[in-house]
Amino acid sequence: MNMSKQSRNGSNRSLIVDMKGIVKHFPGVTALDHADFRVERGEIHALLGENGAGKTTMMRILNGIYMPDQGEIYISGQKSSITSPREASKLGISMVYQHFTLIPALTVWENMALTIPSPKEPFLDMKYSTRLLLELEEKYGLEIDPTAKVSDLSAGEKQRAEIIRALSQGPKILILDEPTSVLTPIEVERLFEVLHQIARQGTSVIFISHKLGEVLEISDRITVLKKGKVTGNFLTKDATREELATLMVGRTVLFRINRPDVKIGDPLLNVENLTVKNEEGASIVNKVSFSIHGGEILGIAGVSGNGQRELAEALLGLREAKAGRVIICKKDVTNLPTKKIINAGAGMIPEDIQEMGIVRDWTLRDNLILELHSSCPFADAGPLRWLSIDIQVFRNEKEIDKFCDDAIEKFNIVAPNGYTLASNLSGGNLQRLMLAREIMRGTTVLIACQPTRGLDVGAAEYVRTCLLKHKERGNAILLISEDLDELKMLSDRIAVMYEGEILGILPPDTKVDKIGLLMGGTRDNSRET
Amino acid sequence: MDLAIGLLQGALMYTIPLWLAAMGELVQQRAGTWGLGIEGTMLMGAFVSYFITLKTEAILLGILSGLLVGIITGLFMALFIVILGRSQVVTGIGLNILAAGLTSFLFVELITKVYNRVPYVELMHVVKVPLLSRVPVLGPVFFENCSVTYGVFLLFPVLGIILYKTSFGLKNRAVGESAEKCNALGINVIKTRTLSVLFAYTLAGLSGATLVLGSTGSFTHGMTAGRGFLAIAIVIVSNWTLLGVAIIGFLFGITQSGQQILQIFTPQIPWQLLLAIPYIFGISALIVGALRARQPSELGIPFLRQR
Amino acid sequence: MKKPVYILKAIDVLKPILIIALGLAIGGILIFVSGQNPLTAYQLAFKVFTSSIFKITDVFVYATILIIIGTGLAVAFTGNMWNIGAEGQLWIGALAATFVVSSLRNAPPAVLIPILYISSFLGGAVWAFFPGMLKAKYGTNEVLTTLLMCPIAIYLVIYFLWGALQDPVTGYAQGELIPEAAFLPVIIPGTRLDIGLFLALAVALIVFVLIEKTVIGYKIKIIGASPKTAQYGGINLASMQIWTMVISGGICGLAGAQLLMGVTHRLLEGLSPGGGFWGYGFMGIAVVIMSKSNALAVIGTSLLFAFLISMTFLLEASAGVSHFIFEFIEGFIILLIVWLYK
Repeated sequence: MNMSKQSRNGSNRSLIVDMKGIVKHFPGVTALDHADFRVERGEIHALLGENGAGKTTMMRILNGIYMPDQGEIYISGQKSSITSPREASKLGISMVYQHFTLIPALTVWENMALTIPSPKEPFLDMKYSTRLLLELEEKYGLEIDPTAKVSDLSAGEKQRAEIIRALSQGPKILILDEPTSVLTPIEVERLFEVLHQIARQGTSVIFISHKLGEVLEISDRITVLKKGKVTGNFLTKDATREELATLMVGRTVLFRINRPDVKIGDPLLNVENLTVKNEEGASIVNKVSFSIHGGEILGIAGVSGNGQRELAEALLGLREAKAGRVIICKKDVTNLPTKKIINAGAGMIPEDIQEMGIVRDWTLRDNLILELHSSCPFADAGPLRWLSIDIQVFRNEKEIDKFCDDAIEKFNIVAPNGYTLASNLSGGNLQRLMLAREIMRGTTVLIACQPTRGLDVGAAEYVRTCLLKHKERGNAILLISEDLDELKMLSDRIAVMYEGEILGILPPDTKVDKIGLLMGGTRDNSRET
Repeated sequence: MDLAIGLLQGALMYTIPLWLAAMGELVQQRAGTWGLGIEGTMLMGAFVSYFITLKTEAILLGILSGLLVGIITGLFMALFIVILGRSQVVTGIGLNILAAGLTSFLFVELITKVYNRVPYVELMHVVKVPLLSRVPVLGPVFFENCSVTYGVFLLFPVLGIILYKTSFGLKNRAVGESAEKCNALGINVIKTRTLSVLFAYTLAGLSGATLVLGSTGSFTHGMTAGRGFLAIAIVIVSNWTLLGVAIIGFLFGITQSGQQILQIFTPQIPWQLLLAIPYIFGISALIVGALRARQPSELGIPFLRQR
Repeated sequence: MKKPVYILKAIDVLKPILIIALGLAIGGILIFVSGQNPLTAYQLAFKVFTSSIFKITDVFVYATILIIIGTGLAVAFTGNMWNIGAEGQLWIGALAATFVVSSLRNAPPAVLIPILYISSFLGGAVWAFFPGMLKAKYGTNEVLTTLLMCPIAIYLVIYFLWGALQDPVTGYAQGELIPEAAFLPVIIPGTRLDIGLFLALAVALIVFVLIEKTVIGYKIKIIGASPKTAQYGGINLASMQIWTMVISGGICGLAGAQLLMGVTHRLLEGLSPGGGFWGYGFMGIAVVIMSKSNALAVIGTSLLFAFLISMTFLLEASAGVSHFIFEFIEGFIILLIVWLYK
C-alpha cells in the first residue's frame, strides 16, 4: 500500500530530516513499526493519521522526548542521537505543542526573557526583548503585541506567540502538533499564511494533523501513518481526499461477530441540538442531534478530541448544556443533576476509568455499588428497624456481598473475592466491573466511551459480546470508539463526529473511505439519518 | 499638630515590623508557597535578639542574631516545604506553636527566674536626617528614625527593582504561576523557591528583632500577637503587589496607632472588632481572589518532580 | 465471601507512641538547656502523677476533649476537607452554650446539659458552614478560611466577655459561673473526671459507625477519595462537602461545651490554652493525623497525647519547669508528624 513518488526537485534540495526504519514499543503496543520519514529543506510536510497512528510518537522521537528502539535519524545529513529536547533544540528542531507552554500571567516579552537573557543580565531589558520579538514577527509575518499579557490573548494569538517562541532560536525544523484544533477558520487561514512565510525563509515545517482538508491545503508533501506503519508518502498535488482517507483509516474488519436482528423499540435517547461550550466560549459540541431506540447501538466515529468526550459528559449531566435538549425514556433530563439522569436510566462507561469511574484504593464491592449505595437493598434501616423507622441509612453488607458475588460470576471478573482492591484489577477486569455495574443495575441508555481501548483481543471480545447482549435485551447503547472496525462490527448506525458536529449518520456497511472522509472533515452533502 | 505627629510616629513604629514580614512573605508567595511560619519566626527573632543584646550589650549583635534565626528557620522550612513538598499549612502551624513554647519557656527559665524582673535593653539609636528632619510633620515622622527603618524604606524600591526588573525576580514570579512550565524551560524551580523561602524567613527574623530593639526594648510572652498572620493578610489584601503592601501595611499601622484615639471619639466600635478586621479582610480577599484568580496561580501547590 | 479481618498494623500503633516519646525526649533536652536535670524532673513529675487519683484521672479529662475534636476532624479529613479551624469552632460552641445557659439558669440538669451540648454543636456547625460553603461554591482554600476564622472567633468571644457576658459577680472579663445544674456530674469523687468521657467515647463510636457503616459515610469517603468519581456516580459534591464541614464543625463545637461544663465552669480566655493559637483545636489536628482519620484510633491517640499534657503540667507543679514546655513539645510533635506522615 506504499505509494512513493520522488520529488522532481530532489537534487538541489537536501534532506533536512531523514528518519529510517524507526521502531518504538510501549508496553502492550507497537507505536511505530519500521517507519521512514523524510523532510526536505523549506518544505511544508504534513504527517497525517488518526489518534494512535504514531504521528505524535514519531515527532516526540524527533524532538528528543522519546528514544527509538530501532532505526536511525539523520539531521542535515549527519547521523544524530537526539536524547533530550535540549539536544533537539541544538540541532535546530523546535516543536509547538497542542498544550500551551507560555506562562499566562506574564507578558509575551517576559516569557521570552525567561529563556533568552538580555545583554544587561541580571537586569531585564524590555526594549531588547521587545525588539527581538518584533524582528521575529516581521521576518515570519506574525503579529503579536509584545506587551500583552498572555492570558489576555485569544487562542489564535496565543498560538502565534508559541510559534514565535519556537522560532526564536532560529530553528531549521518547526514541528506543529494539531495546531488548528483551537483555531477559528479565519485564524486557520492566518496560520497558513504564516507557515508559508516560515517555509519561504528556509525553515521546514512538519504539520501533524488528522484533518484532510487542511493537510491538502497547506502542505507540499504528505506522509500517512496508520497503526505505526507508513501507508503513503507523496506530493500533495498528486493526492486525493479519497486516497488519503483510505490510507489513514484502513480496510475492513478482521473478524465478524454474529449479529442477529433485534426488534427496534421506542426511542430511549433523544438528543436535540445539543450545544456544549468550553472555557473560552467556543462550542465543543455544536448542535448535535440524534436518537437511539431500544435494541439499537449508535456508534460515534471520529478522531479523539472532536467533542466526543464532552458529549458523553453532557449527556450524564457532568457538563452544562448551553443549548438543546436531552431526553431519556421520554423524560427531559437536560441539565438535571447527575443523580436524576442516572435514575432516569442512563449510565456511562467513562473513557478514563481510573480517573472518573472507580476509586482505585477501594474494594471491588465498594466500587460496584457506586450508583446504588443509597438505595434498597444495599441500604436499609439497620438497627433502626426495631424502632419502626424505615429510612435507608445503614449499609446492608449481606446484600452487597450477594450482588458482588453475582457480578463476579456473571461477568467473569477475575478476582479472589469482593474485597480485592480495584487497583489490583487488570484493565480487562476493570472493564468487566464497569459493565457489571451498569448492566446489572438496569441501565437502559448506556454510553460506552472507548470501552476496548488498551485491551487484549480476548478482553475486547468479551466487552463487545456483552454490549451486544445488552442491546438485545432492548436497551439503547451509544458507542464512542476510535476503532472503526469495532464500530462497524457492533453499530446499527454510525455517526461521524468532527469539530463538535455530527457530519453524517451512515449504515455500518458504508465504505471505510467514506467514513474516513467525514472523520477528516469533509462535509457530506447527502445526510442520512 | 503634635497629635498628628504622634499618630504617624506610632503608626510607623507599628508598621515597620509588619512591612518587613510582609515584604518577605510577598516574595515567597509570588514564588508559590505559603509562609505561615513567619509568626513563630518573628517571635523567635524577637526573643533571640533580646537575649543576645541583653547578654552582650551590643545592639548590632542583637540585630544579626535575629537575622540568623530567620536564616536557620528558613533553611528548615525550605527543606520541609519546597524540597519535601509537605503541607505548607501544618508545617507553619507546627513551627508557630513550637516557637511560642520555646520562647516563652526560655524567657521564663533564663530571664524571669534569673533576674526576677524583665530587664530592658537599649533601643536602636535614632538618626536624624539633616535638613529633611526639619520638614514640618513629615520630618519628625519619617526622617528621625533608626538605621533599620531607613533600610526598610530603601528596601521597597530595591525589592521592586529586583522583583520586576531582574531576571531573578522574573523567575520568582514565573515559578509561582506555572512551576511545570518553568521546569520545562529549564528553570530550577526548587532553587528559586528555596531562595524565596529563605528570604521571607530571614526578613521575618529581622522583623522580630526590630520589634524588640526598635520599639519596646523588652520581651513578653507571645509579643508578636499575630503580627505574622497580619502580614500574610496584608499580602493577600494588597493583591500581591509591593505598592499594596506599603500602603495597606501603613494603613494597619495607623489603625493600630489611632485605635486609642478612636476609642475616645467613637467608643461604640469595640476594639476587638478593630483587631479582627485584618482577618476579615483576609478572608474577603481570599474569596475575591478565588473569583478573580488574582493570586499567583500555583500558590500552595507543591512542586514534586516525578521522575 | 469471607471478609478479611482488619489487622491493626504494628507500625500504626508504634508511630504515635514513638512520637510522644520523642516529644518527651525533646522536652528533656530543653529542660537541660535551661539548666535543670531532665531525668530528676521527669522522675518527680511521674511520682506526683502516680501518687494521686486526681492526677491520673486528669489524663482522661484532657483525653475527653481531644477525643471529641479528633473525631470531629476525622469526619472532615475523611472527606478531604482540611478543617484547620477546630479551635475556632470550639470557641464558638462554648460561646453559643454560654448564651443559652445564661437564659436558662433555672432549668434542671437533665434538660440543661443536653441543650447546652446541642447549642454548642450548632454553634460549631454554623462556624464551619461558611468556610465549607466558600470551598464548595467558589473553590476557596478551606485551610486558610478555617484558619482565619480562629482569631475572629476569639475576638468575638473576648468582645462578649468584656460586654454582654461579663461576670456580674467579680467584674472581670470572664463569663459568669454556670449554674450548678450545668456542672457535669463527676464519675469519681475527688476528681475532675465527669460523664463527658462517656459522651466522647459515644461520639467516637457513632462517628466510626457513621463512616464505615452508613450511606452518609460512603458519600463522605468517596468525596475525599475521588471527587470526580463521586460526581460521576451521582453524588452532589458541593452539598456533601458542606455537610462534611458542618458535621465536623458541630462535633468540634461540642468540645467547647465540654470544657465549659466539665472543666472551667465558665467562659473565659483560658478556656483553651494559647488564646486561639495553639489550643485543643490544634492538638486535635496532631491527634487525627496520627490516628489516620480513624475515629476509634483517635481514642488511643488522644489518651497518649493527654498523658503528655498531664506530664508537662506536673513538671511545673513538681519540678518547677515552666509549663510552656508543653507548647514547645506540641509544636515539635506537629513537625514530626508532618515529616513522618504523608
